[in-house]
Amino acid sequence: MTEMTIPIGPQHPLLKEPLSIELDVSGERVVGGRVNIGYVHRGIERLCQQRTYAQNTALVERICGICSHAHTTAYCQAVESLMGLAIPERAAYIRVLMCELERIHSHLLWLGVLAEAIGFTTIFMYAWRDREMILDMMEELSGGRIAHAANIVGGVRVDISPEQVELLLQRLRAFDEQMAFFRELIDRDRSFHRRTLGIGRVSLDMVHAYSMVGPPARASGCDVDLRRDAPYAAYSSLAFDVITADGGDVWSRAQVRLQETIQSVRLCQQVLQELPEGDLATRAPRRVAPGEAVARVESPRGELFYYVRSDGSDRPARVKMRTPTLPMLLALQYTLPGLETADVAAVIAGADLCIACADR
Amino acid sequence: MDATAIERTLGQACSAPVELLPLATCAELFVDIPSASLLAAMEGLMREHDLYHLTTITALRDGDGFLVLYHLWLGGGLTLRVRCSGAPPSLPSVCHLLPVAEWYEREVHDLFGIRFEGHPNLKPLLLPEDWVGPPPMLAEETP
Amino acid sequence: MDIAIRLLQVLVFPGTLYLVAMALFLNWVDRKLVALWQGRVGPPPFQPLADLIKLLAKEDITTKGTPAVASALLPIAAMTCTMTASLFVPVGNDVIHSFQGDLIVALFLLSFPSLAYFLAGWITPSVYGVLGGNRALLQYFTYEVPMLLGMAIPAVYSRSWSIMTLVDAQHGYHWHLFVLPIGFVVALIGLIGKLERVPFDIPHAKSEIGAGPLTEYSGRKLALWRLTVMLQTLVGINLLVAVYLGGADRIWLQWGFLVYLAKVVVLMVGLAFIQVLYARLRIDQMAEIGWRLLVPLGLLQMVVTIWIGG
Repeated sequence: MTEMTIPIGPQHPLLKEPLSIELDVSGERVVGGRVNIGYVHRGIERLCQQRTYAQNTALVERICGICSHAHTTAYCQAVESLMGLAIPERAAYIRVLMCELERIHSHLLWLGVLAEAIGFTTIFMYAWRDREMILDMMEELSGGRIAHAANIVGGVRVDISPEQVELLLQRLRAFDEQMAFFRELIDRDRSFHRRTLGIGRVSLDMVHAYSMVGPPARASGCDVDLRRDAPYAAYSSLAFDVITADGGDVWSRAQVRLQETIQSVRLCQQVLQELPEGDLATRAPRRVAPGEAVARVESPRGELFYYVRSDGSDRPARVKMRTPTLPMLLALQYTLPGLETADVAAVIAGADLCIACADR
Repeated sequence: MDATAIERTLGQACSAPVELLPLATCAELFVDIPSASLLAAMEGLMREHDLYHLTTITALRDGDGFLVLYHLWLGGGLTLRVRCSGAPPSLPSVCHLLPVAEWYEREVHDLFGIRFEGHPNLKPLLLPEDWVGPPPMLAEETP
Repeated sequence: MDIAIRLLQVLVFPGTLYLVAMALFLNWVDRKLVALWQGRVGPPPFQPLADLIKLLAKEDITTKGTPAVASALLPIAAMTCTMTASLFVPVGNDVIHSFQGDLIVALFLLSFPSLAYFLAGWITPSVYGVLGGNRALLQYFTYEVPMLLGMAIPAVYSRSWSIMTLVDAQHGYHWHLFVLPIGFVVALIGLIGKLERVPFDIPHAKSEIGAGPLTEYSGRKLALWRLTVMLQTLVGINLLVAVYLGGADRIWLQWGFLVYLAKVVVLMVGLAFIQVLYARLRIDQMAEIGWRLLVPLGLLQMVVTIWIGG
């Protein structure tokens, strides 16, 4: 049996961001693996200590491209807790809208990446084409496709006019029809099944051992979703289902993410139809009294955690962020042995990794 | 999350009463634990309160020493706050209880220089292997 | 005079110049259709030529540890074998040389480029190259058999091992496709596997092992390899058209050529369509389809052919 070490990364066509996975393979079976991160470490936590609370909103948005709004939501929530600020209801609803739109576009991006990894380029093209509908919506609302700068400490900066509400509802209806196609695909397409069904199974025990979060955890039967279990923003006033599955394989994760996308469309429609009147933001003080606060937000990849500590000045004494990809990467390292080499691409792509988030 | 029951478990682990302090700012509970009782506290929580989710480990400088926060999720947020001092600063590792701690402790070691006794693999996580210099979070401010 | 005509045939039409131009054209058809079906715009017609020219201008690096002479000779050998095989495959109504047994010679020559492709990966020190080479070799074994079976079945049916004779035997629209449909399917899928197109493109699966055997190649050598793959596609399709679809159906001159051209393009469209429909198969799934499905089907068709005689 040929034994060799295949380096996946730091530069590799499979990866969207620099990450190093060293696979020890024997023939066509993986016998060991090591995951190394740190290639995109920018020292954000330290940078946060050198900027004011308001400036940090812009900084944390740039930790990641696909969950940028989740980062600012969590950060702003933590700082608002520190300041004892309550944001207006309208702002809470708009935050939810942007969060859910971001979830949809992130899941579609992931679907395209998975399809590309298993050689199904057609699905990659279709998923990203439909993703454009969502990105256009976000650009109309906030002026940016990826970096929206929608959140500020105290509320949101972005408003929605009644005409925009109508337009967005129309677009969401059209988008919902497109999603029916992907649902069919995941359910029926045999070619897709052959590459994802039963591949990379993760048990509930592993989920608990590695504190996995988000759709991969829910796809293994872990029924935790912060939007329902610890509601933030306007989630306590909105109705949606938490999607779980039992398989724990790549196909189950695809199912969960796709169903979540459909739930997100539902949430967006509710927000647009029930949007309350009011201010967009509460004025935030520049200096913050000493204290500490925690915010947990359900980003597209799972639980995003922020801890902010203040010492009375206008700059935070400590900002700590834990992104959902970190436990996923560690779990990946222990899931790889035992896989067939040809399935590694599907498992890595199916894990929905955001390395920029993990490295900060 | 039953705060009284958790207080009891932690009090047993620390052999001294502890008080769970809800934060004034948000719905999370913080509790101070002496570093010698950290492992016992974790074990107690795992045994009696079904703890499995360690969100992360935060370290911050506090005067001459460090505060290391273990953020947990038990249906609600609970944080164990441990003071760590000494030169070099060190704490027992919780890897054997909560495998995910492997990377969080590596990160704290990288950025703050705190050692974790019993950690299987304390290599740099975020920093390059050939990093030379003080832990980045402790470095002096450049003007 | 005769020699001059021969030279013109070999070098221009239906020889080298025509083959290269046609290969580039078919590559464009492939890419344009796949793009349109995927909701994109696709490249303009001169794109394949532009890609080749760009590659020729790039630096040609030979990785340390790769034998320089071998790595330079392999693509040339592959291309030479492909073009020599096309000497016997009719283009429209013309064939440069024809004799009994030229089908076997053509198929034999066409197996060399696959071996050269695998070797090209093996001689590089890159993990991706070696792993890609392994997969290419496995796939070559698995799909050469159905393709050879598929191509041999019409020969057994029409009792001739000369391609031109097989074309003539289908005169009057008695295409072998209608009599031996299973054989056609087996040969077609065998060809897709041999050409390493989706769903059988695992040896150069971009998302897994870089570019497979050709990972370490650049510049002129890569251009030669790309051209060889395009030529292989063309010659493979030509062979299928001649042996199963009746070639130019004995229609004379330019009309015959156009008929033949239409068939070639239709087959290319079919291959492009299959590419769009499926995900890439894993290596064991690919092997399973080859040995458990195609070979038995091919053997079945062969038995039926021998039994019904001809």
